[in-house]
Amino acid sequence: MDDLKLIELYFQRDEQAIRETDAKYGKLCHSIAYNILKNHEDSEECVNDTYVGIWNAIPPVKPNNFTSFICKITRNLSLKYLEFSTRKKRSPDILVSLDELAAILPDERYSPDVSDEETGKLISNFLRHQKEDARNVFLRKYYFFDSIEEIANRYAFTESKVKNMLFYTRNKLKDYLIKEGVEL
Amino acid sequence: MKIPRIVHAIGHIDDDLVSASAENKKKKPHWLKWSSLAACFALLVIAGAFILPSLLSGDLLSSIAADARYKNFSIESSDSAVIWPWEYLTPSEKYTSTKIDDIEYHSRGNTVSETLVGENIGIYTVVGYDEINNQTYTIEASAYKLNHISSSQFVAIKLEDSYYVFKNDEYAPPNTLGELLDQVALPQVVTLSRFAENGSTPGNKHYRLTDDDYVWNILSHCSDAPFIDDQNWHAGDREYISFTITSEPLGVYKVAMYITEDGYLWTNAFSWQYLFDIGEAAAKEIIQYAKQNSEKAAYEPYRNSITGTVVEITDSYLLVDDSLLCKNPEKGIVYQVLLNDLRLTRYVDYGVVTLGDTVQVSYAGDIEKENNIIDCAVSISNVVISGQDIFIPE
Repeated sequence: MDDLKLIELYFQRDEQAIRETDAKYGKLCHSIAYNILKNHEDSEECVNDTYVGIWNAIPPVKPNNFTSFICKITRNLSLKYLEFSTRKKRSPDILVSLDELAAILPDERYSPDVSDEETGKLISNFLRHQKEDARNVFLRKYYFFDSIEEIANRYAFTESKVKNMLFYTRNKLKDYLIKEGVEL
Repeated sequence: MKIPRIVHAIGHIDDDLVSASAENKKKKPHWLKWSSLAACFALLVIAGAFILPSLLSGDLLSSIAADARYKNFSIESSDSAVIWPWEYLTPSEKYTSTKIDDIEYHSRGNTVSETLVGENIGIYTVVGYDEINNQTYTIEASAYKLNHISSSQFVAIKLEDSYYVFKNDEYAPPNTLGELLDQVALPQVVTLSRFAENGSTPGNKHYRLTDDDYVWNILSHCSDAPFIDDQNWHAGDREYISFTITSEPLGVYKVAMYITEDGYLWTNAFSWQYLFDIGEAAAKEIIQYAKQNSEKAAYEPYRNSITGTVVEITDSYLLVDDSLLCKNPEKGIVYQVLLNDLRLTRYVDYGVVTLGDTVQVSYAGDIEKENNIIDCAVSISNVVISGQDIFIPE
């Protein structure tokens, strides 16, 4: 089912919308949640919360890009779950990813007057000027939180190459943000 | 736990970028580029070392030294896939693709001797990409045919003073072995010499074939052998022999060609895996001939290398001392690695290798034994040595 029809079902308040969403996007949502939480139960819960979130948001929201919309909700919910979870056991992959990103822009003490949304726009602009491979590798790692191994398999790169690409993109992003006036 | 602010900012990345990356399909297995694998292998090889079966699993290398002077230790490659600034790239690393008669060719990164290069076919634009500055460069260069090879498949491009092999990398396999032999006269450009039984690890039996004419003769009678498009094929438990192929005109170094007893010919010499059903009779004949007309040979690593500590750096050489690895440190050897190639000097100039680092130096050819001089090194990488008996100073 295409996304427009899917959104139409939400507007009609037809519960089939959730079943269709699960059929089309369940795997993607689960992989995002699992990459962040590394726990099937918690991931399942986040994915279900994602569906509830979409049900509540549409209408009135009519997303232009349903894939990005659902990815964003799953990612946000999973990160929130991670932030407040009392589980001691966390995935080393996600901890490394968060550490790597913290080195670019750690917290609100830096550039408090620039909103996350504005920083997101700057990052988008930066990524648009990167080579397609570097952009996708960055997004797979820091948006979808895929492991290095998964990214290497996905794009048929060596793991060293993936790490190297990420290292350079992170450094370039930091330089770019400084150039754009984000005080780091 | 606290989530860094930038993680939330990344959550606001534009929709089109996110969905493009979400939908970005995985490459199919047959798109696996053997050239990438070769690069991977190049990073993972140790002199006199046994390479464990984890070779293909990633960037980790664990090896046990076979040198009698050495203690037991393992070597792990640290991140060595450096992206070099443009000025530190060799000509073939800089300029990697060209278009001739609507066919796109990509550099195989290897030079080819002038004697193997045929007629000039014109001047073409060769394109390079500076990954660090995201800048595209172009250069006009002469293209040449390669002897015994159709220019629809391979050409040579002259960059500075050397000829480099460029290949048409489009996945368009020949329908039959005969079609491949028409495109590339394999008997003229490939010498079948070293081969191993049922795998090429140090534990397998290795041989050197005395004459490959008969093998090519058998294969020339298999011109109708169909190409098999089976991406999941692998030798597995089959009985087979694997020839090691190095060919200047094909731009390949130590790739493989298998002949399996149940009738297949498999090779990775052409960027993509090529598999032909040559039939059991031909395959058995080749295997039998090879075994009866060969002598036993010692295992040969992918590339020779030495490992040790950098104890001196000058403009013209590095001194690498391997006493760290020796049971008796007094038996250590200090190798003089000549910095006579951009592929080496850049590690020093760019600060990747510094005094006191533990490095592995890969080289082609032989070490000059009297003074332990290596004048044919091709790469250096930082490594981490560990083992029960090894003390690594902080």
